[in-house]
Amino acid sequence: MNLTEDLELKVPPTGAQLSTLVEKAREGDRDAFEKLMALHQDEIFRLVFFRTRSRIDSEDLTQDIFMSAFKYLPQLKDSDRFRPWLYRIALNRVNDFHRKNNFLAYLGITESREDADVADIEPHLDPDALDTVIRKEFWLHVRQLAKRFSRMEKEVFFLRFVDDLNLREIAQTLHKSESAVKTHLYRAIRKFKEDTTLSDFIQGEWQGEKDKPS
Amino acid sequence: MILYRENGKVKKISHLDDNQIIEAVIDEKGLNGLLRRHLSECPACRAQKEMLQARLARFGEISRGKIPLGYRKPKLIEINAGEMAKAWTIHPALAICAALAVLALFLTPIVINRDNLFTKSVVYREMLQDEKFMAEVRSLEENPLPSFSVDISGPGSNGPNIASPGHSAKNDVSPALKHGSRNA
Repeated sequence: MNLTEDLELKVPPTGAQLSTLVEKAREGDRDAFEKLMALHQDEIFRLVFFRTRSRIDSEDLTQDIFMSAFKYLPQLKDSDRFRPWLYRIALNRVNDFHRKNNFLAYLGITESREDADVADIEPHLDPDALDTVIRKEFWLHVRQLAKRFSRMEKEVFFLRFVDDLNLREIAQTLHKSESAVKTHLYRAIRKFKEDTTLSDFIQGEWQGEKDKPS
Repeated sequence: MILYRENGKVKKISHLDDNQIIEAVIDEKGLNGLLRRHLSECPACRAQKEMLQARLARFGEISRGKIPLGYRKPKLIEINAGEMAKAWTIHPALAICAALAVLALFLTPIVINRDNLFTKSVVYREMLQDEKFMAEVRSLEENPLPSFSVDISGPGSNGPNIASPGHSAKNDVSPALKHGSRNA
């Protein structure tokens, strides 16, 4: 079975197959890039949405991230580092977005996004009122936890446990050494462990899932 | 009971502490060999580590579950890979060469000579204009009236030609005065 068939059948590509796709895309192969985009769009959208909590902004930013990736792909030296490189672009775009929003909020042109945690989540996606309340509560806990983290702790913790990157990928994404990543992660997990309200919430959600009739 | 060396000191513990559990969650291979062996053998420590790991994993799952699924998928708009980057990127060496070329153009002797030539030509032109102007002034001094006025104020007319200060005194004296002076 060749690479194209594998991708069409939604079989997760191996590292070598991904590298081949990146190589092809780097040479200007649009089909190869579209396949890379299809493979990574969900995780990039998730990364952006988790950090902006706005569906429309996340859609625009995801589009922008992939356009930037396509534009600057010839500059990527090591095709094995495509994923951390893409995440780096995504984090930079999200940071730019927050910087711009803060500046506009400071000027009074837009409202601060501090309280926009659940505002952009459409009701039709969440017809159950209880789910909406749970969702709102969850984002509130996440925000409180994030406030306790330093900037690096926040980046490292969310990249590890929400975006599911391994230590090496996080180090490559943030341009830090693995030991530095471990130190930030260690501090962040300590703070996470100390946050009893979030622990209780997770425990409750867990129990709720278990108790659901199958 | 575990006896292990940390920062040159021998430590004696019965179970892994909270910090060591966190370290094990982050990277178990990074743990001290003795601690790692204890972790694999001690069910209590293992359970603690797995509980923390599960909580973190659950946090990730819930976070991912709160993301909307039916979002607008990104599309590749019509540009070729690296096209924009190539169009807008100027190689630093090329930029330096261009700057030096512009500088050289301004400092080259040809430019300086051309500048001198330009200055001289302007001076010559101005001198010619001055000479022309002075010639006009001189001609006006000699003959200030237009030609028809000169005809009117010819030698047969009465009175002094006050409009012609350049005329000689002999011409300015009227015939009556000439006559009177003769009588005197």
